[in-house]
Amino acid sequence: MTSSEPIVEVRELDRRFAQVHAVKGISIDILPGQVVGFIGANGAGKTTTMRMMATLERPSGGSIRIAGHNVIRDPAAVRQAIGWMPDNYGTYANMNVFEYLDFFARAYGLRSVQRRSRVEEILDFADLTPLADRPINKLSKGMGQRLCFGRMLLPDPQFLILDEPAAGLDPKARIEFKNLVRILAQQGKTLFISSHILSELGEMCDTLLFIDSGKIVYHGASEQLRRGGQPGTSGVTSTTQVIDVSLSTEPSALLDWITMHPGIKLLDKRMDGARLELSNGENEALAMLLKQMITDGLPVTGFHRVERKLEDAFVDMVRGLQSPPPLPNINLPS
Amino acid sequence: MNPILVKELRQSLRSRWFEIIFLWLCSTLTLITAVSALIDSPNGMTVFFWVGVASTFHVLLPLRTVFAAHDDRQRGNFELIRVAGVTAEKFTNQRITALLFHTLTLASIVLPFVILRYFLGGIELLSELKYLTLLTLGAPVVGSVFLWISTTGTAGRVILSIFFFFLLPVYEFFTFTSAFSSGFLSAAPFVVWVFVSIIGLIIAQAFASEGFILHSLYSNP
Repeated sequence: MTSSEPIVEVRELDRRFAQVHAVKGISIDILPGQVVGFIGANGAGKTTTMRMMATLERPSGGSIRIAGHNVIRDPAAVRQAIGWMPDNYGTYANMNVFEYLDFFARAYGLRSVQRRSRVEEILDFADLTPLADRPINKLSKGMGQRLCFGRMLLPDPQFLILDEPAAGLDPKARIEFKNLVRILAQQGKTLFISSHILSELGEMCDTLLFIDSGKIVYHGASEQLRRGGQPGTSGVTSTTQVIDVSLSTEPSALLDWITMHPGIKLLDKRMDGARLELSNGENEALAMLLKQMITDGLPVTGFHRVERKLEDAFVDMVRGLQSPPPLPNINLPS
Repeated sequence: MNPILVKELRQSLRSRWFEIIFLWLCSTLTLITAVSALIDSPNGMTVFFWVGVASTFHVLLPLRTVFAAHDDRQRGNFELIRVAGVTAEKFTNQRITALLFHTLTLASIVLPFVILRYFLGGIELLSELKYLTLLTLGAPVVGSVFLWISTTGTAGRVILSIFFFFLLPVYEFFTFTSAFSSGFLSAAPFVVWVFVSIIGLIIAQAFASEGFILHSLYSNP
């Protein structure tokens, strides 16, 4: 498999339960080294999708290939290629940190010297070496999460699936978690992280996938979404952008100027400027616009993009999906 | 060495359940042996002594195995173990092997009491040692059936439990008779015991493994 080939190929994935159609024919490609955020409300189908990827849930239809192996036909090979961290990660009472990692290292088939050295590497990576003898039930939530993170890395997997990993963590533990994700991304691991805390994923992930009622409704970069990207696009189409313009004088000249320029809409005005919406929010278009304003003599003192919160962007997008069009197969941008 | 066994030997010997079973067994056997010494009749207390041991080996320890396996499923550890490459069959086998080791640990506690009873007089040492061995070897068989019952649905659990609790006294009878009968009479119950144990172990483990797959994987969340 070359680096340009997807490490994960999901095709028309479907999962029905007795009364619920949880996942409705989704298709995703994830390239090696990507950090993908998987976002959706509770019950949207995130966990079911991730469990199918982790070989723990059998799809009703479609297929998943991870590192070239089919999750149904060759689950053992898939399990060697993945790390799985569920939202409710299990721990054992009456076990210390070293024993816990040693237990899973044995389960992964690591033997004697190799096992010990791998466990020590993981303790070091997760900053747990000083806690090696501490009973698991005496660990804080953040330490427990680092331990489970370490467990997931024992077989040195290529593809990591993390279901709501930051839930319930305090701010310090969240920062530590982000650092771990950053280090793994630098090591070239592919991460698939679910959360409903969008801002958090926006900072960590280079690509976002939104799922709603079992369907992928958005895929693309978080920047794209903040600027108002359309669902199902991959960041190459033109998008709207809100900008804030400040002037050294009152804004009447700017308002007149807007009337002469189609594609620019006034959203709000104030004493020293206005908020505008541009039909084309690409970088080049914004640069040309600023240049044009200055050339036309407007006394511009401030000109910046108004970034929407991801939460707002998501809510706007879901509202706009009253009757979504059928989606084509998706190739995520690297 | 298999991971579940290592974990069980490390972790379970420190668990509250094992402490309770350990203390229960020690206190029961100490009390019975003390009474035997006082009334100067170890033989008269034989039934009480062995009911204490059999209930520990064939009820309490298998129940602990069931609760440990249930805990693994409830806490999500079973799925993590599965993703680590331990199949449901291996999981079941390793749990039963761990049960055997726990039983051996407790058998090593029972052994000095048996020898003490011998010195107090009135008992047949060889038969008691044979019975202790059969009880120890029977624990994985009973434990497998307990695991199988625990992995079935409610209706299956009720039916199997009723069936099993009628069969368990019969199995215990054959175990006891195999150890304490002499001559030609001892051979027949022993053959039946061996046959029932092997077949029971194979069937119960197979169904328990299947039950773990059905109820923990590929099922409704």
